[in-house]
Amino acid sequence: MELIDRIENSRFLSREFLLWLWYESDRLEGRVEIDDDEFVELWFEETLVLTDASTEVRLKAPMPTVTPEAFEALRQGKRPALAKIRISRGTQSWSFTYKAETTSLSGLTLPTELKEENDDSFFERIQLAEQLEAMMAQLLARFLALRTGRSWGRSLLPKIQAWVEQH
Amino acid sequence: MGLYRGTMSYARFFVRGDLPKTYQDRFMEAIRLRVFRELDPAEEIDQRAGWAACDTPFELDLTYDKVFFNNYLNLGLRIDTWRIPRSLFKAAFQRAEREVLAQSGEQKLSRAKKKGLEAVLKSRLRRKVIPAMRVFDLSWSLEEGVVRFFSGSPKVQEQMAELFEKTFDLELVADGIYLGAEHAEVDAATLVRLPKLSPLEL
Repeated sequence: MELIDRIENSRFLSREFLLWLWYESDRLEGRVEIDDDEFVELWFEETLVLTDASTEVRLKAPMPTVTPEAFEALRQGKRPALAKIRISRGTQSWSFTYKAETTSLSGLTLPTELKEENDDSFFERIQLAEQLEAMMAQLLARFLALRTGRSWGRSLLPKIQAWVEQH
Repeated sequence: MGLYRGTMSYARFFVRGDLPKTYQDRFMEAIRLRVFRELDPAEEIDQRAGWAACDTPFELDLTYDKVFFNNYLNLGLRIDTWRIPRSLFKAAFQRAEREVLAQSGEQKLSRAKKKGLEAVLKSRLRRKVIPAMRVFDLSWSLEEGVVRFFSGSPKVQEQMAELFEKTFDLELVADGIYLGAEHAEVDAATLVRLPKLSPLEL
C-alpha cells in the first residue's frame, strides 16, 4: 500500500484518538497514564466540536465533555474533531486546541516562559512544545496499541459503548 | 502567535528522506536563491513568496547565524501581495474606459482591450500603494526531521511546502495520525494494521 493510501485510510483514527482521550479522562477523573506508571492530568475545557460527514455540533461550556449534548452527538454518529485540552505534569501545564484531522495545535499556552525575546527564549519555547508533543505521542502510541490489540473488540469497545449509552 | 512570543499555533510536517552529508553550506546557498525579493510594480504578478529571517521579515541578507540555531533551521516565509482597493480600481477603470472610448469613437471596448486596460491600470495603481506583507515562522528540527509551521491556512501551508521542497530538494508531508504514529515509533506490526481498521460503531 502506498504511503498516501495508508495516510488516507487511517485518517478516521485521529477522531477516535480524541474520543479515547475523552473516555480516559472521564473514566480516570483526569489522571491519564501516558506510560508505565507515568501519569498526567488531562482535561477537556471550554470548546468541543463533534462532526459527521455533513453536520457539526460546537459546544462551548466550562466542561463540554460532560454535557448531554456531547453524548447525544456521539450517539448520532458524530465524533470529536476539535477540542481544547489542558495537560498538566507536575507543576507544569500546557493548554491548547487540538484539531484531530491535522493533529495541529493552536493557542498553545506553555508552562513557563522567559521574559526576554532572544535565542534562549526560542530554545525554551520549542523544548516545551516538544515536551507536549512527546506526551501526545505517548498517548497516541497507547491508543493505537489498544485499538489494534485483541482486547479492543472484546473488552474496551463494549465499555466505551456502555459509557456513551449511560450518559 | 509564533516561535518567539505569545501562544503558539502550528502544524507539523515531516521531512521524508535523509539530509545530505554536508548540508549547511548547500542549504544556505539554496535559501539565498529563494530569498524573498521585493515586488516591482512593473511586474505582472500579484504576489511573491520567499524566505526571510525568522521574526525579522525585512532581514533578507540571510547568513548562517540568522538561520541555524544549534539543531534547528529557522526561517520566515514572507508573502507580499498587491492589494489595490476595489473601489479605487473600479473608479480608475471607469474613467480610463471613458477616455479610451472618447478617443477611439467606439461604443464598447472588446474583452481583449479591457484586459489590456486593466493591466495598465494595475501597474499604475501599484505605484501608489504598498504591498500587504504577511510573515509566517518556520522551525525545522533537523535531527527529528520535523518542520513546525506557524500558519493554519491550508493555502499558505501549500505555498510553504512547495517552496520548501524546491529549496531543500526534500519531500514534506503534513502530519496526521499515520505519520504521527510512525514518528511516535509505534511498532511495525501496529502500523501495518492501522489502514485496515474500520471506524468504530457506538
